[in-house]
Order: sequence, then C-alpha cells, then structure tokens
Amino acid sequence: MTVIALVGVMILLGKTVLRMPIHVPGHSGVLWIAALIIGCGVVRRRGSATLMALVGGVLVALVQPSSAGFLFAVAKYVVPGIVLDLVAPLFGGRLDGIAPAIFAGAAAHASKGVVDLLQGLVTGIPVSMLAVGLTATTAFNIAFGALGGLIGAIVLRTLIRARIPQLADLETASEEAP
Amino acid sequence: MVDFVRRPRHLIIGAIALVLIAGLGAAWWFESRAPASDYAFKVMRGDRVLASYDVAQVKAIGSKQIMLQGKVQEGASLLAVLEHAGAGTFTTVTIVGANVSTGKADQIVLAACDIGPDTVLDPAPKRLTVKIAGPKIPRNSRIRDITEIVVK
Repeated sequence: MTVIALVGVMILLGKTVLRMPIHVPGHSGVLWIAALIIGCGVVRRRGSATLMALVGGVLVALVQPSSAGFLFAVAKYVVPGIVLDLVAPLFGGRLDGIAPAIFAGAAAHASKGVVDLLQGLVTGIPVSMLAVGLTATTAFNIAFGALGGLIGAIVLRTLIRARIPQLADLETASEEAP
Repeated sequence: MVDFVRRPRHLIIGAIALVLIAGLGAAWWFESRAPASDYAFKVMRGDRVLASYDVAQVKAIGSKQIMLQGKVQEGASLLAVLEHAGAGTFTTVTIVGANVSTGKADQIVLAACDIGPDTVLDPAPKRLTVKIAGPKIPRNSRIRDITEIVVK
C-alpha cells in the first residue's frame, strides 16, 4: 500500500510540479507513466496499476481542477492504469525488460488519448475541433508513453541490482536465466 | 529453448505495436476526414457587428505571453483586437462563450479598468477557438469558445 500511495503522489508531482518547459501535448506522461511502470514492476499484483492510477488521478483532479470535470480528469489516469494491468501479465509481470516496458508504456499513454476523445464527444465539442492535431497528439502520446516506459524499466533494473527486498525474487530469477 | 520462450514475447510486442499503428492510422483518417472548422467570433457594438475574427486572424494581430496561476497564457491583447475592430473606446466589454470550468454557455462583463495590456485572447490549439484570460479575471470566470465580444 505504501508503494501504491507513493506512486500516486509521484503521478501528482509529475503532473503539477515537475513540468517540463516544452509546449508539446502529452509530455507530462513521461513522468507519470514511468511512475506507474515502476510501481507495477515493484508491486506485481493484479489491479495495482489501476489502483495507483486512481490514487494519482484523484489527487491531480483535486489539486488541479480541470474543465473536463472530476470523472474524466480521473479517468485519464485510471484507463492507462487498466491498460497496464492488462498488458503487464502478458510479460509475466516483468516490466524491467526494456521492450516490454516501452510498449506497455506506449499503449497505456495512448489510451489516455481515447479518454480525451470520449470526453470531447460527451461534452459536445464539434468534431472539427476534436480532429484538430489528433494525429500529432496520438503520436506524441505514444512516444512519451514509450519514453516513460523506458525510464521506468531503467529505474526498475537499478532497483533490482540494488537488491531491494520487494524485488529479491526478480534478482534471483534474472541470475538463474541463461 | 530460449527461442521458444522468446517467441511469444515477440508476438505480444508485435501485436501491441500493430494496435498502436492502427490507432495512429485511425487518428490520421479521422483528422483528414473531419470538416474544416468555421469558428469565428464577432466584435459588436450593441447590435452592430464591427468585425469578425477566426483564430488565424487573432494571431495575426499580435501575441504576448503572460503567466497566470503558474500557467502560460499566450495570445493577442484584447485591447489590440478591439482597436483593430474599431472599438478602441468603451466603458464595458461583454465576452460571450462557454465557462472554462463548467463548459456551459456563459458570459463575463469587464469594465474598462479591468482590461489591461495583459488581458489576452488565448487561442486553444486543440479546440481552434479563443478564450479570454487576464490578471483581473478569476480562473473559474474565464470564458472559452468565445462567440461574441460586445462593447458599450
């Protein structure tokens, strides 16, 4: 539970405090996707990414109210968490692998774009407005999600090498692997 | 043995990559088929329309950056737009559009003393509309998707 709360706070910090001065859509995903990947890799329980994303999403929605409304503001984090919970088991829960983490992060962050689109449709935004820059936004979401996955994987590998107790079995497994 | 273990992982990665590429393709298709935006807002004095502007025309008038509540707002100064429209003298300005917080139709009335060089019309890149932002406009009173600016 400590890790879940910690990752939730990291998501909040990544979204509110640690902002990068680049005006490109989706760039904040690098940090909070990395936090989710790390948390998912450490906790390794079904539903953990969703729970971490829920905690982070609620915190962000409370600290930084959005015109999207509370529900959609939280859904933008929960849906990627659900995607991560669906994808991680496909890799045996091992998100310390570079390629699995990159693709898991990309898929998770790309799903946020789907929530944005749904939010726009529900709130009655004209289709012409919704379509503006959609391709670029989707590409950036995928790219920054992948980068977040890469960072998460590198941190996880570092934690495994640092022999933290929660990852002791992963260290053993990686030593035994040919 | 190693190849057999690795193959499913490669298949999974390949499947995810295909889904992402399909999503990107779908976004491109949607964007290329969407109708062009016909957004424009009117500057009016009473019932008389003085000028009409779309986002590109507002950007062409000028741009300045201001920092409000930790976020950068950037756009043409409201005073510059009103001057351009021939509405440089006024006592009040009514901005009609949608409330930034609720998304519902709303308007805000600004006195001349509430409008300074840091009151800007900030184009929203995702929406292709403009919103009003300024130091004397509370965040939850800001108007986006502006349709009319009425001066008196």
